[in-house]
Amino acid sequence: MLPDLRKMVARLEDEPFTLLGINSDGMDAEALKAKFEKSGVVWPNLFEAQERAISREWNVQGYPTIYVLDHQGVIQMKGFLDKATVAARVDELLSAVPGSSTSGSR
Amino acid sequence: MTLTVPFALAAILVVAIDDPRSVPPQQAGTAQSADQLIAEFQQAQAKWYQGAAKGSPPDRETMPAIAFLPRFREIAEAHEGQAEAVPALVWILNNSKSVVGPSGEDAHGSWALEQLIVDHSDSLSQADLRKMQQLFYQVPMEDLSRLYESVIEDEDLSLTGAQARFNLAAGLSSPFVNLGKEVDPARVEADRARARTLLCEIRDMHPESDVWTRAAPMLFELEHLNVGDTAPDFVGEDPDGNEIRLSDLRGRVVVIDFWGFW
Repeated sequence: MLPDLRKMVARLEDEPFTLLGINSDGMDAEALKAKFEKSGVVWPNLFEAQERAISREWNVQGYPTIYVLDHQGVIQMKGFLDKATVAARVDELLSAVPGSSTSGSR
Repeated sequence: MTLTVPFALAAILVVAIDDPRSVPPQQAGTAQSADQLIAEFQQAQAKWYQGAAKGSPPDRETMPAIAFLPRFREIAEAHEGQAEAVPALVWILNNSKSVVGPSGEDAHGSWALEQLIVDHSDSLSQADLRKMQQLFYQVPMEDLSRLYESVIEDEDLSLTGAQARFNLAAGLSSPFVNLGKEVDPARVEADRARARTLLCEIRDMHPESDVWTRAAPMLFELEHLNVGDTAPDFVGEDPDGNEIRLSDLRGRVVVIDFWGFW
């Protein structure tokens, strides 16, 4: 799973795309940073520590739970989604974003 | 199953031979309450998982629930119609499906649910119902609804009534309930609308309660986190303490990934 995400992030490096992790491991910040470094997690991640405020507010029932938002912030997909489905949908949504290298190409 | 028969027989024999007058009750061992048996089951279950931790998943054939199922049934039958049966019935509902497997006929589960509806729907406590809130993963919602609706009718405004609403709303709004089934979208919409109504009732009836604290995210998801909704904003920090705000990413396609290494 992490390898798929690393690939997606690398492939879309120059696109108007962000993968935002919300990490619920509950480790302390230093341990988490070390783990990110070791595992090649180079994208932004919120650090939820013990309270898991956002996971709780968003009623996350299991992991990984994924939301895909278009460039206007509208939820396009949600759930326990496999990474291939997510990547395909992201490509589709990117083609509608002004300034994306793929916009207008479909 | 062949292994469990002698165990069950042995248990019955020991109960028959044991003279309760000569043995202090805590040493009787076999004439257990459901709560004692639950503790024993949890130990066996932990051991079973530990035994398999070295690589392979635990062997289904040896899972403790198989041997415990007839023992819980025995307790439930011995106390039929009495409050002592309730924890055994709840245990059976929570575990019998895993014994028969996803496609198996869950006769024990159906029996336990019928017992709860007929004998106990007017006497279940909030704590009993709380132990049942994940049941929709295993028991069809049509069946569970009968129980919860009947509790709501009897216990309308109490915390027990609120917990029954919670359980019903959780099942009606869960995406897992209809997973892989052909379902009429109008029916799904109606179930979600009912769930919203139930959750609003919990909030209005018991705004300070623990049930509402746990129910609030369910209502938040139903009201603000649907496909087609603009995602509500949030702000948090990365491990370096930098602030990240979702709305700052407007203009970009965003994948939010709730995850962990574990």
